[in-house]
Amino acid sequence: MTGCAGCQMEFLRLEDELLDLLKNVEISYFVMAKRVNLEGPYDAAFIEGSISTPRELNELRELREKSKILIAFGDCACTGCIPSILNWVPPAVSAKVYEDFSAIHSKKESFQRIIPLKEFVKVDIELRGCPPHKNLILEVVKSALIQRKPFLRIHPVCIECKLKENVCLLTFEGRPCMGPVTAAGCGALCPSLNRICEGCYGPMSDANAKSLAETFLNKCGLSKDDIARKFRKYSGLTSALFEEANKSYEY
Amino acid sequence: MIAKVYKESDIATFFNKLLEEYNIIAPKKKKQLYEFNEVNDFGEVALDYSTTILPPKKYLIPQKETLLRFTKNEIVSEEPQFKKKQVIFGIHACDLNAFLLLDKVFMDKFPCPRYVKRRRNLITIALTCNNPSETCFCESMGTGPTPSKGYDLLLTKINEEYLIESGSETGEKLVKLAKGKEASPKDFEGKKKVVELTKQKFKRRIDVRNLPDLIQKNLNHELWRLLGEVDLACGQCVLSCPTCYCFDVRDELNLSLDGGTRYKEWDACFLLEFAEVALGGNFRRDRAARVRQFMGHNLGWGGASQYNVFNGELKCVGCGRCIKTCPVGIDITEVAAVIKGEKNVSQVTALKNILANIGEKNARSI
Repeated sequence: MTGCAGCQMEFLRLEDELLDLLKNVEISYFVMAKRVNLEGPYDAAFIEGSISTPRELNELRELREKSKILIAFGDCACTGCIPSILNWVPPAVSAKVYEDFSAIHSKKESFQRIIPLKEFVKVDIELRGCPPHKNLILEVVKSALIQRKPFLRIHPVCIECKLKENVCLLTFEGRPCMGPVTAAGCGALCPSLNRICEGCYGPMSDANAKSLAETFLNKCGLSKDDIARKFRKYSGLTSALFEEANKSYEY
Repeated sequence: MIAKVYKESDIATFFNKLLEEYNIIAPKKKKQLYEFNEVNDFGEVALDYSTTILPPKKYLIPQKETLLRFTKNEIVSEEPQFKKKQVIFGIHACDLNAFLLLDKVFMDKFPCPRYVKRRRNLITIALTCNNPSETCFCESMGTGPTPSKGYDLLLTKINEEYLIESGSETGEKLVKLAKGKEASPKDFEGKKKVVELTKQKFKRRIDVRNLPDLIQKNLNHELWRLLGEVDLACGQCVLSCPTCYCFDVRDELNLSLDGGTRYKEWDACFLLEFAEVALGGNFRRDRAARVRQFMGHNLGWGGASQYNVFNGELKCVGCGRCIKTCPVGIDITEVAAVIKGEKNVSQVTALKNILANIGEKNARSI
């Protein structure tokens, strides 16, 4: 579907585990990695990307029919991720950037929007991340094999960050870190490298966007536009961040 | 008790002698803050530190530890193994008192063998704090700035010298590692002065009298609801609390599905998933309820009779880490003050913005 295929790459990054994995799992369809692909039905389908054209929607519905377990694989599939910024870009802007829409399917066809999978079909598991960490992918595969709910912690990045004993970038440096509203899973990758969290795992289980927006405003000196852009960068469509972003900024 | 006076250079000698035999953990600088970590050179130790990011409880209760390994036919328990004894060097009174409280949880009625093993392997060399940070309030909790018990050795910096007192047999042996002169009554006077001077530096305090009772009586105080609105539920306060000890136990399968490990890791009552049960039920779904749980456990039911693990002592030791690290500035001393009736809700710093907004809305509706 519509995405950058980075999540598929992450699957291939399972180098060390891949051979062990293949003892229990048969990969039927994976165009990026396989020459011969089978048309299903499937026990589990990892679907990457969001929906931006009617063709993709038909394909998604077909896959739902064919698959016992449907896994929204990565942020695009779960929340719309970076492509979802499109939803707030006024048509006039696109017209300035692209003189000719003929090669851009999502612009040419009727959608003109980026929409996550669960808006159309039943999603069994949301595997978050841009891309999801390979350990999370393994957790989902193993859980599917033994028919158990996967243990995907969607508590905030702050937990992983604190466990690494990082100096809190928001508290001590006044930098607009999205950690407090963002789901963990990455191991606090960015804050550990002295970069603020950008929010790429989507909202955490109990995100207090309102309070964080206020903190950004008062403590980090961000404008309301900046806050809206931060909240919309990865998961502006999610109920946790949608309202706050809209309140802060309107086209 | 043996008491000696070391010159600053003696401390380095002493430290190097310790290094030969022990694994040493001490405060080190990390950006503008400090952390407890393994040290291999005295030059790395920051003895003028105020407080560390994470408390030293991480050496008694690891963030994540394997409990056992299993296969289809066999279960093998994992125990902590030590090549050397561990020394924690320069621990402040607040953290030392936190160890004593954790001992009550994990060594008294229901001893945790892993904890006991780690605790027995740990030698504590405490340090009288003379540099409390803005957020510290151990003095009013009766847990600092100098410890009265629980240490093997206690160092107190007096001008350019260190008074070193032993608190156990181990300490008495250790104190002989470096040459120092016998301490005189004058040195103890000096220590008293240092402690007095430090006490004057504290900016925050909690009046603990009746506090557990008052918390119990104020479970529906509007303060909790309002704090729930500003609180980010990021959990930093819980992880950085030296006495919070909640954990989760999980199984992890091998890829081949023929075995795996059972591990234990830190958990936090501030997280939504913490009180979740089967079918998505949750005892503390509201953030407000979780704020109350953390504050209540530290100031209330930690010292209340029906949860008698702490024998009436409060769970909070006044280290101030939760205040220091909170991105929205929630301050446990202000919470206590509101519950005690010394302050009203509108004086709580973290609430000022939302109260201002509510005021504005109310004004608009009129």
